[in-house]
Amino acid sequence: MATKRKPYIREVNAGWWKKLPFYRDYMLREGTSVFAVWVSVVLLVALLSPDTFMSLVKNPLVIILNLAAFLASLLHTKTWYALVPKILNLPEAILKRLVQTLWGLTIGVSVVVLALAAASY
Amino acid sequence: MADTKTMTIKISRYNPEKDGEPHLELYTIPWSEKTVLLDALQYIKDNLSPDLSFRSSCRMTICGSCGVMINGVPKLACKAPLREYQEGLTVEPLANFPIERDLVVDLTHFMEYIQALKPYILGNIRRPSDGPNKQTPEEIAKYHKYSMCINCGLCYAACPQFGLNPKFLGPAAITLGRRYNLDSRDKGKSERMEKINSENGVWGCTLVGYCSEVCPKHVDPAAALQQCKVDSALEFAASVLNCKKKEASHGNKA
Repeated sequence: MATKRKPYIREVNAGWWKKLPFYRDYMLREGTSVFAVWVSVVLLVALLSPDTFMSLVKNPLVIILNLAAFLASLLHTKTWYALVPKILNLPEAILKRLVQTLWGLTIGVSVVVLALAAASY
Repeated sequence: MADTKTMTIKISRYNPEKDGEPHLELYTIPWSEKTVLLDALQYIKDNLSPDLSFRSSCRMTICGSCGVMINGVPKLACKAPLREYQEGLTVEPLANFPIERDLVVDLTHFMEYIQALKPYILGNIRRPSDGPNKQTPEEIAKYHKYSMCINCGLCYAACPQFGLNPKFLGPAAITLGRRYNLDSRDKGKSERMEKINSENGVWGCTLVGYCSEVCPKHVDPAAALQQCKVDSALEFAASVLNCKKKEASHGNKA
């Protein structure tokens, strides 16, 4: 007897990530990489032509983009540290302390760098 | 029965003999604080639409048969109280799988991938006369979480990478592989790593992480997959180093 099966396959379209807030957050997390490229370009300019870099970073548009890149890096840090426990198969108490240590280091190093920058300004 | 509350729910229907594509149908059902979606589906089958097709068995989050999409989110129908969906309820078959009929999907891919990862102890030559194969609580703790999987497929419905590439071995299968790789009694890691390292293996995962979010048994497949990536990367590094060593030793011989 011929089969009556006719499986229906639902196509995945390019807008799949709009369906759920979780997917949108994921795209936002991955989207922070675009700003990483932007910061790399700015640093490349600094390396190749320090004078152009000095005038570039004073441009209002560049300041806005750098601010956005800063916020993106904060989001990236937050999401990345939240995912760190997944990579390590360790007891939960140790993982919790590890993430706290990572945050402590990040905040500590940031304060030191900002203090040094303020002192040399 | 006069004060019985009623709710209208939308259910995706698809009859391969008649329909070109699935469509939603409305059903009004009685419910109480204790009613779960699976009760509602059974009520519809018994009283309103005897030809409604859906899978179920244990009714208590053990068998993993009754996975469906509720308002676009993968859930087990037996673990979904209607009281949480008073603003509206749309039930569809599990996403990313071909629909056979109504809420029944074709899980062949899923089953094949689980088999491919050999989720059983390999290479253990012990005999019953050797006595019990003891494990310390620490050894059990390494894989215990990953052994809770009930093969319900919700993680595949949550995984956009499986949706985009149905050849991707996917969360549950790789997690089961990881579970046995971590087992101190097992000697089959290299066999499983071949699959895990392959084109459609663990590197198809981009850590969306929704698999762990929807898992009804809190298995955390996203964690298992990231740990497999670490294993896979270390294996690659080791193979490169071994290659270099071999080249060097061949060079010395020549």
